[in-house]
Amino acid sequence: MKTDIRDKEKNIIERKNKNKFKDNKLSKTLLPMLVPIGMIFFSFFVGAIIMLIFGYDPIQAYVSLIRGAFVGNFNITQTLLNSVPLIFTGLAVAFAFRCGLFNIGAEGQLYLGSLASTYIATAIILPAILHVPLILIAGALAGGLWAFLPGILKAKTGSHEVITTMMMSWIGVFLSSYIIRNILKDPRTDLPVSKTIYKSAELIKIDKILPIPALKGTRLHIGFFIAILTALLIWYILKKTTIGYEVRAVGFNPYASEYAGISIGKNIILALFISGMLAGLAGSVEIAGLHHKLWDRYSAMYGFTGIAVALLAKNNPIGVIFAAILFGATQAGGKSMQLDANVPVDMTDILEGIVIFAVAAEEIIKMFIRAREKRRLAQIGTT
Amino acid sequence: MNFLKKTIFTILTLSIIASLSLTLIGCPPAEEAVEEPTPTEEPTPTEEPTPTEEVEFKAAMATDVGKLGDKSFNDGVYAGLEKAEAELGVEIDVVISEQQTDYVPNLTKLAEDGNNVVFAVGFMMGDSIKEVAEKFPDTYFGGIDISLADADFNPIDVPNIREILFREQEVGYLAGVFAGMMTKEDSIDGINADNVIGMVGGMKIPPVDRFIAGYIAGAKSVNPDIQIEIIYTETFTDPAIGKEAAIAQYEAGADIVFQVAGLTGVGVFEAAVDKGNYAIGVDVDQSISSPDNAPVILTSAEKFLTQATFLTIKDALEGNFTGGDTAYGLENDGVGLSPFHEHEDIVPQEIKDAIEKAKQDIITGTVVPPETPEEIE
Repeated sequence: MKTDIRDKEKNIIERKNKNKFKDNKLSKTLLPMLVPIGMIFFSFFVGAIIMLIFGYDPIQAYVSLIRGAFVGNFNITQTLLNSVPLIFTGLAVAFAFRCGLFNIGAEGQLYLGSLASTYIATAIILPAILHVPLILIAGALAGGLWAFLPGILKAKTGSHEVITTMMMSWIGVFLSSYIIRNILKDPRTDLPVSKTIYKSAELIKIDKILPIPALKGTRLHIGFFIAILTALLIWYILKKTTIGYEVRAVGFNPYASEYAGISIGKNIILALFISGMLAGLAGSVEIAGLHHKLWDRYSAMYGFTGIAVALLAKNNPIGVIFAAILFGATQAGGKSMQLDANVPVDMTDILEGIVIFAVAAEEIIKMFIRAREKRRLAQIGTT
Repeated sequence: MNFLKKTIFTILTLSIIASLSLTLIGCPPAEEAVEEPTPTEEPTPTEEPTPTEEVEFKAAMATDVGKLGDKSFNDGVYAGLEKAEAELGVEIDVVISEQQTDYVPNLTKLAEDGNNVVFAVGFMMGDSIKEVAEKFPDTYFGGIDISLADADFNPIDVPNIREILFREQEVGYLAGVFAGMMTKEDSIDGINADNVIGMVGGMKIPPVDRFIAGYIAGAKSVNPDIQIEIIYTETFTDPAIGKEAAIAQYEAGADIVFQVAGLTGVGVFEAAVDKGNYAIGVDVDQSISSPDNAPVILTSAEKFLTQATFLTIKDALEGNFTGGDTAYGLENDGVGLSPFHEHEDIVPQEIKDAIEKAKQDIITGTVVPPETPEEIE
């Protein structure tokens, strides 16, 4: 009789442990994905309320938003095109974040990358097989250098990278403005624009290599695949290499890492350098793939939107791809929303703002979910 | 506390579900919306055999980064679309460009949406309109202020693009004559004794420079010793920079500043209000489009964008569309100085006569205003 009761108790404890294990697994794999998705829907709901308040039809607006972002070869390629620079800048911010650093100067690093690439692409002629890699490397190095300086400052003097990357960013933006107008400028025009890059420096358009009729005449270029490969590479570096491990360790707990023999300074410099390289690549790929010339102030704030992309992706390189596509889609679909639903273009900015806000507030939601789980577990325990 | 948490959580969950269902519900009405025209078409045959269907003609514009509400350039073209809607029954649309990278996608979108005439507004959209027009040979394009050029900057013509150009130097010249004489009338409140006038240009591009060249030549023709301050703000979208530039010129003794800077120019008016001096507007009659600033706007150097836009749509609708350059000047009422409105009484008759004489001289060809400031030196 007594053993029977003991067995029952054992059973309950086992079941409790099993449940606990299951819950942990759920919260580990599903929650990080579900919460951002939920937050996006929540943001669109809030957006709908705002539209209703101002007398717009939210259903029509969202239908045209989705149509403008994903229906038809032009719209879908525009969404992907929009996402290309955002994947790079999103990765840049995410990588630095993993080391506990907030690189908010991706905009300036992007311009430095654009400058270096444009210079190489307009100054020398090489076979495409050499020219394209060379301009990508030049762009990455220039962007990296621009973030390397704040890295050194942070590692040696402890000056905060939020200040230094931001300041360097504006220096970069205006420096490139000066260089475009005075050094790279096409002498045959008064416009603030560089010479057109040589054909050998252009990234191939996808309709040239893939015989898909739907892609014919679209502007999508292989930069999109380069972006995705870069995201996979960054994921690999972070997860599978010593460099990635050290960077993450410093981000997780710098003092413990130092105790374990990992240099904080070295990893801060390295993380910001790689972060800057990624932002620089955003500029290179935009110039070589899409614009083929460098206009002054051409970037649509890609460096800053990258922060939102990284936030939404929870600094996960693979997540960055999807987050960037989401932002690319809202921008592409926003045009249709303007045309079909007569919702002003500013509504897309508002939507993006709410998404960022909601993602930033995500921790609060998580707290509720955890509290709820705890209560549920407690209930299981008492029965 | 727990209750509060639970309530907030429930609200959040509900809103997520609601937004999910909203998007899900969102789809069927779309299909209905597509189907909707059929029921409305049904009653039409009973009345008469659908004439409205055949005339369905769509015109649209993509703004430049100055966007709608610049009270000049983009608004002027949009007014032309509205006129076509009212008088020709054309369906109209507008898409706002937030940055330069939007130009190609916006124009493509408008062409894809089946618009018959698509307008690109502004010199900076030249490359974009060329790229898009090649992909949509059956769509007509109107390029306001756009002169097309190939990669080597040689002028070219594309059959489905009409380059709607204005001889800004002609109206700039009239503005120069006006300002050059007005700045001497120091008995008027807000006009000082200094023989200085100002000029704020958005960017050193041909349409702006044509205004400036005409302005300088006009002012010097009536006032050879005049000093003309010129600032390029390098932006068409920043009123704050325009205000700074204008304040610097008023401080330097200018009493009238002519602005050719799109949205940036709104800052010039604000500076004139602050300093108690005057300004000259551009592109449209800005005393009307910007009524708050009307007391400081003596006149505006108008380009009749509205009329040019309207006529292009009309030509396309009637099958008379022609590509290539279409220039509008004083002789075909494409440009002109707008009325003085509330300043009618303070402008001396001799100045009005001088403007009228200059106008006739330009039309008859006695005076040929320069196209670039460099020509004057």
